[in-house]
Amino acid sequence: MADDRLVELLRLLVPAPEEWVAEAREIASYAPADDEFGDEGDGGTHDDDRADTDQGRTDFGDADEPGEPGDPEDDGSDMWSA
Amino acid sequence: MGSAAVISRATDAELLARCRLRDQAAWHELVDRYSRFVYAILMRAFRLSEDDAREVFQEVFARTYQHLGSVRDGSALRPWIAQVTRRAAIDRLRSTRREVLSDELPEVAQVDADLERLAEAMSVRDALRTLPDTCQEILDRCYARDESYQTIADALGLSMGTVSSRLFRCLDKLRAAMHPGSAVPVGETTHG
Repeated sequence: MADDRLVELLRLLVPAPEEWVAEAREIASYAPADDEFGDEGDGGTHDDDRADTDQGRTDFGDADEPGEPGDPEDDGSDMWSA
Repeated sequence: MGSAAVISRATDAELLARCRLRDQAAWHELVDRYSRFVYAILMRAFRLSEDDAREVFQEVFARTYQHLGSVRDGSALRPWIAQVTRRAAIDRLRSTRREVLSDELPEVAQVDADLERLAEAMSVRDALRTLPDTCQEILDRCYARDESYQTIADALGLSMGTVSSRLFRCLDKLRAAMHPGSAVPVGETTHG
């Protein structure tokens, strides 16, 4: 990889604000993990965030294709429709 | 040396396993590792406002923490987080759509291209993780944090000439880490 490309990619990932990171770190202090409270999701819009691969749903492409965020329900063609 | 620039050497699989055991230090490392990625997706790819991005950022990590058991293995963690972030960003944009001009919404193809670039950037950081702490520090300060040579020199107690030569060598090491077996000897590359 050429240095220009390497530098370009290094520049893409700037640090997130420290406050944001600190807040996210604190999540482990108060948020329930799914193995304690069951995999009920968090009431968000996308119920399939649960990536329930036990039922064969591979919403994140992590059962059949590691590294491929497959999502048949969100192919991008209707991204802005309600 | 600022420890914030040095990346944990644990693999995603190791972090995931430890997080599942409620290892808070592992969770902190996971947040540190993915905070830039999530931030970049929200700000660059979806162009959320800072206020929206901050809230969505926390939503993403809250969902990640809550559903760690759903991620199959370490190799799935990055695309999983990317997908959660993407969905959360879309939800936020949809919820505020009436207040946003249509030409301010990012095109789907551009979002996908941006996500691809950011995933590639994360691969570079994977390689960066294998380098000595001194290289991680100097490359991060110069390129990700956009610090001047003088600032870096002052922070690390080096001369500017040393900063320059160290950057040169560390970029070589990073390139070699990205492509083992294709390393170019020092002095045979150009640096802008």
